Amino acid sequence: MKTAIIAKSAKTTSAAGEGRSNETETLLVGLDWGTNTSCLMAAAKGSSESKVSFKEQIPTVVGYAAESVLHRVLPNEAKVLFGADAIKHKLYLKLVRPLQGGVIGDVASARDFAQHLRERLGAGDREVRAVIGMPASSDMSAREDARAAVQGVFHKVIFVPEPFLAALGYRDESRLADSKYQDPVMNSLYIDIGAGSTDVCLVQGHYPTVEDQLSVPFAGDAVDQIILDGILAAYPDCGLNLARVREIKEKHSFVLAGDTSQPAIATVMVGGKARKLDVTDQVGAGCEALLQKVFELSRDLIARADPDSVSELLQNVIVTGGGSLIKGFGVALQAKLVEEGFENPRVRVLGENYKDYVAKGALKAARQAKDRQWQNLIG
Amino acid sequence: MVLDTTASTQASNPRFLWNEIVRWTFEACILRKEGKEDKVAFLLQERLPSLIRSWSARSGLKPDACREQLRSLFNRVQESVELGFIQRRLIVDEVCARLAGRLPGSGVSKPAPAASVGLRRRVPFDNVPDMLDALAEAEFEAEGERILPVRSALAPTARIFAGEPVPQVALSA
Repeated sequence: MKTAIIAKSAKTTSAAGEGRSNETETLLVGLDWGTNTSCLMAAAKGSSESKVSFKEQIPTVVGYAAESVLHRVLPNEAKVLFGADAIKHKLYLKLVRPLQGGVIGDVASARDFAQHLRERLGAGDREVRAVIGMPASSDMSAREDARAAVQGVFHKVIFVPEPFLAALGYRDESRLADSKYQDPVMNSLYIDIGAGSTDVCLVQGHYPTVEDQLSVPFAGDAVDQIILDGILAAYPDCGLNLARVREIKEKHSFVLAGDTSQPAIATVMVGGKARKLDVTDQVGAGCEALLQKVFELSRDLIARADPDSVSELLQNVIVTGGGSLIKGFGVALQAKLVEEGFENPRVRVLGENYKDYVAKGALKAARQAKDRQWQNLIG
Repeated sequence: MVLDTTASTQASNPRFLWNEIVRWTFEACILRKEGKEDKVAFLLQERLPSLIRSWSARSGLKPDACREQLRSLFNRVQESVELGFIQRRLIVDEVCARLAGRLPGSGVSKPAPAASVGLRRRVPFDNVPDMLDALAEAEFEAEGERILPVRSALAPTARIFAGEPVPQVALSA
């Protein structure tokens, strides 16, 4: 799905329409390389902050055509399809998800996907520099894998923890002079619920250090597994897999008891027949487990904050990442904080836009990075 | 002769106490370099004071001499840890350069994965370039830790400092 583009000149937005004069112009890219969906934003180096020449969200999936696939089944007889196209033709493809738990799980397909992203940018011969978001808890191996995947695709890269980028992207610098604007980086608790890990960070005017953040390897993937285990225990012959469970979760996830007034009914195929299963309890159990984990991390990190800062901090609890899309999550977390005795907390959920914020923050970082700070990947 | 190695005997042995002070002073300095201030605070406020009190009471040294001995230790440990990080950086640079030169783009066997790459120092939110520098430092430290853990690199120095005041105890006895 290609989304709104703030117009820049046609010369820099379209590969086909690109003039020779722009061939050497450096293109800056902000990339949220997500396990399920990636968000890409780009702008020419030196362009004004408000100008974004390219913006797109693409499902992070690569489909490889089977040898035996019939002619004309796949568009342009493609051997490899990406994103929505791959999902659309999944019957004829071997689908591979390059990322697992927020980090590269399969370098070869990640490389193919990165090449596809580069083609989507229509950068031609221009130098492409990308700031790429990484889970806060990722280690050096994860970075090496990511670097290997984009080697030869982007010219220069910088890897930055996603919570930093989310905060950067969420901050609206144009409103800082507005006395009514509450600067979200002055005293906030950021909760980033990804696929593989949940990261909670204190952002109090500075970027979080190792002491200002807590991470656990419990997030969307773990919720999927809990839901799958629960459904298989109740319906052993339903033949569900994790991919299908993910779809069910994305449609039905919730954490508030009130939401069970609309039960989660999943349609699955058993022996070629459609069967409707009530999976309300199982989906609820998975989401509740995540809520509890997030609550515990938040409580522990709030305890580390300067006592004088806590009152304001509680007004700025910000939930981002895929987990923030769970219905009722913000309200439920707020309720749990109140139950624990925290005074008047306010939890905000970034919701559907969260991917935009990471990519936007990455693009902001790319604009401000100095030449020496880019890691060379080509020549 | 039966060697008494019980905890209570160890806890009253000035050599053991000194070695513990050396050990935890090194640890505090390393943790400070790693930006783990709450752990540093625990060591400085909880663990080291009782060790220092016990050692001072049993060392046989006068209070001024104890203070001087400790001050000297703290200074030298700080310098050693600073130097250790610099040496580790130089060694890792050299090792990486040699491996890269010898085995270009190859599957050099990877050391064990390290912990996550996080900032060790505070960077104001407005300063993106400084944040990127701090991340690069953290990445380098994580890579260095993976190739040569700083605690291993500093272990020989710590062993030199251990047992140091014993001759003085002997002299004063």
